[in-house]
Amino acid sequence: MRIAMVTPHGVKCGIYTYSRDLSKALAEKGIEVCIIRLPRFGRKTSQILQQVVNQIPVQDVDLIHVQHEYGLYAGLDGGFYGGLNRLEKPIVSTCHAVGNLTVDRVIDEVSDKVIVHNKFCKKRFSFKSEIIPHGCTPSKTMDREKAMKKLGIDPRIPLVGYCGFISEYKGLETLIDAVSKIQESGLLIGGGWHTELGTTYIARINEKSHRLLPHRCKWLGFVPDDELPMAYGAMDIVVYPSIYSTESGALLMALSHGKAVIASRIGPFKEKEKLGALTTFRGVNSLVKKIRLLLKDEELRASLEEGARAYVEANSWSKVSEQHIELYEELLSHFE
Amino acid sequence: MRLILQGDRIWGKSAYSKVIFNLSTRLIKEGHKVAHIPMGRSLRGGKFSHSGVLVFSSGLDSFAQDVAVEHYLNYNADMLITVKEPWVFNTLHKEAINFVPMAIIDHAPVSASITARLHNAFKVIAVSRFGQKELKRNKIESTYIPHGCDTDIYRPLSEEKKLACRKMFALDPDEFVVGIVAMNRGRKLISRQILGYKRFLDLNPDVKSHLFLWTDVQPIRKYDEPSVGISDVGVSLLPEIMALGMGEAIKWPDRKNVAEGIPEWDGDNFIDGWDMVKLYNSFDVNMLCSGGEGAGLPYLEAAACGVASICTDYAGAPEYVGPGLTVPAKEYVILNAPGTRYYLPDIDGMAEALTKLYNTDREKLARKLTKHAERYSWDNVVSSYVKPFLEECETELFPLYTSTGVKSWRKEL
Repeated sequence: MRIAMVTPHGVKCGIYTYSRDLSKALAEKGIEVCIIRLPRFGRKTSQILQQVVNQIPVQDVDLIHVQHEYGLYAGLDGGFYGGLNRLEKPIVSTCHAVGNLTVDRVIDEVSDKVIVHNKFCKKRFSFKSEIIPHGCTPSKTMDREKAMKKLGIDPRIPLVGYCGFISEYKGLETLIDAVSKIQESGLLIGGGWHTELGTTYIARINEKSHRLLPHRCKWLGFVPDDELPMAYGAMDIVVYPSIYSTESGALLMALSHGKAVIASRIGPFKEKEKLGALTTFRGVNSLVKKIRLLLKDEELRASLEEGARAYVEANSWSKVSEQHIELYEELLSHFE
Repeated sequence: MRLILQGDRIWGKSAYSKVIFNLSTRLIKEGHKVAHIPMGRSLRGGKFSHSGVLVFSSGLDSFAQDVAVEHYLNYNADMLITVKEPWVFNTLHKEAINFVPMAIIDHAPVSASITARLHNAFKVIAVSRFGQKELKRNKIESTYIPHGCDTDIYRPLSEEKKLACRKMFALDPDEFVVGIVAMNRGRKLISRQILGYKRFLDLNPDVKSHLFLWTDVQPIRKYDEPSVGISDVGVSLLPEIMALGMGEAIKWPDRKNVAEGIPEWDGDNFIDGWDMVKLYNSFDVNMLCSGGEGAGLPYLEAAACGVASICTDYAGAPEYVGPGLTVPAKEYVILNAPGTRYYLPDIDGMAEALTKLYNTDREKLARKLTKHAERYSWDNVVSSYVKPFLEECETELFPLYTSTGVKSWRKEL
């Protein structure tokens, strides 16, 4: 089987990382994946998106799989899906974000199958969809002492961390407020913006961190894949304080590195809490308590780390790709 | 691949025109489809073919940004490569296309006016190792592809022909000729180079010599003419030449010759066939001690003709000058709107370099120089740098994930 996957590729972007890992896993199981590169940045027009559609080698693929997130299509989703529809091929869409009724309807009408990542998204997406979780790659971390030395941090300091793209809905203010109330701890922030080195928001958060956590907060900037083992190796606890999220590749990356994760109490993260993969909080005081507890209670931290590893094992890319293949095969059997 | 090169007009005589012509025609030979969008409103008519390259209209914007995306889509291009300092763009780098700027960097630290225009790029080309390092310092990955020189055209002529060249340019056969080939721009620091040459004459009063200034000694733009770009304007050199008492020691051509340019090679016409090859072959030394060079085609062209160059020890110039000499520079000035540093070549250093080259075995040096130029021959640049780069782009633009690795689906299917 050979599929065409429409997705950003080769750029700093969570959906690229997702598509790359999924494509690798599918390829390992004998499915060839032609990437149809969707421009990730810049001013998009309907003509540019039509050029993307025109690139699909229709005769050479069995189906088209679209990685969808609203921002990627700049409100031109209707024209784009109209173009896909005319190709008369089975269409699968993975919705990385859901809730825009107008766009969701277009996706539902044109797609033969819609994939969402969790129950929260399935509920919010008002049409028929299948849940296939976001995959994970079990990864090792660097020895803590070594990582702390590399980062120039005193290994005696209990370290709370965050690693991922930084934007307003990630809720880093909550994390900074919380760590500022735990005198003995330090904060390590890895991440940046997709293109430019920074944004006004990042500068504001950076200023806040230095004001509230003088000499206690270290910023790493964007952390490339090969430096993740060092960043996670240094962190005792990883916090994802997102205000809103449909899924988080960054959070899953922390779980993949076997870290004890505290995440905000929102739908997609609560589901993982029920599976024992992480623990959740609501509000700054709750986060302070959880951090203190986890820093103190090594056994509890170890059990969360164990839960993270079990979740990652159950949702490895290999297993996720099998679910995709099953869905593709079922779809193609109907199509024939 | 289907490529568009956007920059100075392909039929022009500027360094960027030469880069576009040499690159385009060789890429066509490699089996690529190539189109060109000329900047500077230079093509107001319809599209036409030039040496197999499809040339699109220029649009109304000085840098053709108003028509670039339309041509890109009409041509179904895979990439749009720009050959111009990236700071001239104010919209192109924000378009959702595969934008591949040649980052021509002639200063350090590299201006934010340049780096800000590279973050969305599909790929960035650095034309010097110096530029590549500067980009890396700003966390911008780039691919090194130097500018090249057509070594089939630029070559040393026989002694007999060299003498004919000198005669044609009204230079004496037995004098030490120092040439400067440069546009009249503040950045080129021509007045300072004249000071360096003057010091050489002062220190070597016995040397019979001329400075052949292949530049427009008047500014191209009038004083009251509004301009766009980075304010790197030309300067009036005549008052300074006369004030320094260098009116006899310096020769310069009619400004029309420089403005319109002369061909690269005009055949075996040594009577009035002025061309660049004959010009370099009439020099003993090529001097271009400017404030900063992103690359420096005159260094390569002179080297290919067996003529050594001297340059300021700053930015991309030392790489291109090869076996020539570098002149130390400790102080800098800021001359343009973005506020970048241009270094001042040491005046005694220039005189010293000219003296060294006057006293050296220039024939022996010429062999090293032609070897150096050969490394930058366009054929070598295309095979060693451009081809692997395009192959990498092909796989990144059209990736096919298979059990045996990632390939280009466009090639595989």
